[in-house]
Amino acid sequence: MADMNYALFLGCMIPYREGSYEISARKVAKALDLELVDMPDANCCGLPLDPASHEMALAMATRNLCIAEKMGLKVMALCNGCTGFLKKADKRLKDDRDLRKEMNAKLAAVGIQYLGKTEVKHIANVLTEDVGFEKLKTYVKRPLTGLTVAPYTGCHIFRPSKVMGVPHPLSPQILNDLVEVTGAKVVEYVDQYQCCGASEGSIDNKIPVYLAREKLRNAKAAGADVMVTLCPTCHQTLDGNQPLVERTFQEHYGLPVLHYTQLLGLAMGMSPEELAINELRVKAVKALEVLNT
Amino acid sequence: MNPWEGVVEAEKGEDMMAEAPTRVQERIYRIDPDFMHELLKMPGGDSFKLCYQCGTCTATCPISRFTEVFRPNKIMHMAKLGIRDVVKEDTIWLCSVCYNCVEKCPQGVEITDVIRALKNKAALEGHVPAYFRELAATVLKTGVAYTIPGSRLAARETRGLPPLPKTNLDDLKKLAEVTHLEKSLGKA
Repeated sequence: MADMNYALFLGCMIPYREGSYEISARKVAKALDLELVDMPDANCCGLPLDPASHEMALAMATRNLCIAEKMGLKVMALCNGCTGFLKKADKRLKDDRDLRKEMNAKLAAVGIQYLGKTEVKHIANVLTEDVGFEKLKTYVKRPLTGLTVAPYTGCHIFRPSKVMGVPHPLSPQILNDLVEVTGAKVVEYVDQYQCCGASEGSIDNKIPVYLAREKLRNAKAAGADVMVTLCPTCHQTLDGNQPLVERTFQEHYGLPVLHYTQLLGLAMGMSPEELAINELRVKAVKALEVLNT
Repeated sequence: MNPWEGVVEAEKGEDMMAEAPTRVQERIYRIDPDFMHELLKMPGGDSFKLCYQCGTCTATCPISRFTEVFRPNKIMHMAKLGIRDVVKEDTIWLCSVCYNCVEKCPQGVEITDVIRALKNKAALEGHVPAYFRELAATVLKTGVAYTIPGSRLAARETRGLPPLPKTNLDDLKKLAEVTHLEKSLGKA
């Protein structure tokens, strides 16, 4: 089995607004014997600043990679955006010797050097590649039979596929497979692999509302009891903004959106309280009732 | 220019025709051959030259569904023609960086990266939304993209979470200097 120690990269959105993701991820990781070591001194992954200054954003990403290298660990991120950006930076620096030289000249100002000795993974990649489905199955103590789940994968965990190395970049099965392990029923729905629009919110908040509404409506129409996400920003758009979507369009969805780690935790026999499911904006009590019967 | 001019409410059906969205204003642009070469030198900004205007990017773009003003193929075309004013268009900031178009482009144009290069160029020339200046200030002040309230940081302990790692802000400041962040944001 692969080395099961990881440098945990939290990013910004999770400590800012998505504490329930961090709580459930840590609980699940502990139960799976994954050792998560907090990254001292980490900074923002760089992605949010990329539109303004690619140079600075890349330097910020590389600084994080250097911290993980110093720890001698692989990076495990919980956020799609962080994973995608760090992995892209890592790949570019590994492939392009000139760029690496240029970057190291800049990093000399803060006394660090990028050596290309680490690797970046999303927790979903860790679960599928390092833990593996076979082992994951043995941890499922209470299969979520009767629960219908609409998985929402997000973008940066699989696109651009050239960097992320995903076999089906237009319909990656990673989250669908991970949901299936829990014993829940997976439903497919229109636009499930499309953008949540969250990054639009930085310019105006109108477009994300339209995009979130599409996903909620399609998932609901497909018969989902709950949606499941892998990314705190997607979660914010679908769960945090759901009341806004409902207000804007005078519609009712009431569709709880769980972090995947919460769903897995439930299947592993943890209680909703332990997994901070009560912290979701759209309450999941009613939707999860099917599990008690 | 208001980027929301022409945002379409897809659900209104027949009403949509009655309230036809305002068309993007026709304008006369100046062509500057140097612009294309400047863009080619930006990191990731070179692949637009392969674009043959099939429009697949726009067809696949989730943002283009909801606003008439965002058309990635048009942005590629403007770059190719050498229309320097493309960096003054608010529309370039509407790209949500979902990479859908990049997956489907038959010519292998890294559309997302080209638009990123255009955004960087726009910022350099001072056409950057205020949001990004504030964001840069927050990153340099806190190490992350948000100012996390002290109460939330304190609550981590009661919720059984370890304290949040603190960033060495001097390091970030030095990185901002060597990467000329101020200049990239059109200041100094």
